[in-house]
Amino acid sequence: MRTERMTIEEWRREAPAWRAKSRQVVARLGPYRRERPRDPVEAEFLRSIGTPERLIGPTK
Amino acid sequence: MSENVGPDLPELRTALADAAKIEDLAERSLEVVAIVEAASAPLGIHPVVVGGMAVYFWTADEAFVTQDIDVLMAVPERLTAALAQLGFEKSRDGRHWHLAGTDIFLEAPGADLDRDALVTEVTLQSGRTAKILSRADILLDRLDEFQATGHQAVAQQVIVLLKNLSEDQSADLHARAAQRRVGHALDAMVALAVEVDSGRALPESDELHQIARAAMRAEYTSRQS
Repeated sequence: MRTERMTIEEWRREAPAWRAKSRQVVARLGPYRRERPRDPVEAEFLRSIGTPERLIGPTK
Repeated sequence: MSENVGPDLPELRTALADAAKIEDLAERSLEVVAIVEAASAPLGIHPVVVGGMAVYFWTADEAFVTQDIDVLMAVPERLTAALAQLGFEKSRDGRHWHLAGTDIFLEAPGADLDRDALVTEVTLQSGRTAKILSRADILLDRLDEFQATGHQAVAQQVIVLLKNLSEDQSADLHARAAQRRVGHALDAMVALAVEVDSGRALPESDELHQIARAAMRAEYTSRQS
């Protein structure tokens, strides 16, 4: 395993530009909808905290 | 004088309660993992964040993220006991831990990391550090999944992750994608990302499945030659 290092301050500086590029692409691609089946325990937890179904996806 | 026999779990439990209140999802998740690492490091266990939270870290876009935190780490009985002392409740299936009274939800889907994997160690506000799969490695993981499934959602993540790749990261990614037998899938997704940049919509599911199958076939063919 190799390791690179960064600080959370560096992440905070970079994040807005990454987010902007991502949103540009996502706007062209349409809303994300998970297709891979999710573990039922995890799905139950995510529902309990109000996660949208499109992010939870199907359950195994 | 008493011998120092391990982490101060009551102190870590307090730190965890504070971390759970951090508003930013990435910072909260990494602080939680850093505290888990403080408890697990004396056992030689160093959790690495993978999955959707790693995609979120490298895109900073909530479009893909759920609250759960996937970490690669072994969980022997001694760590299970330490996690319980930190306030985590283990699920029935034994793979998930919920920090009682919070939205913190950990899953340890496995412990194996590629030998040549690149991990990013992030120094946090608290001074602790947390490890997360590098952008190139989460891309390799998603390329593997795309090649195997042709799923549209995975293609979306790959295209977004490719957008912010530096030249150095790109060179590393291409070299390792060939070794991981996802080089053709990477080439196809890079081409698709360029087309999407030019205004093309993401192909429909059937076409994506064809792209994934062709990439798999090309890997198989090149393996034979």
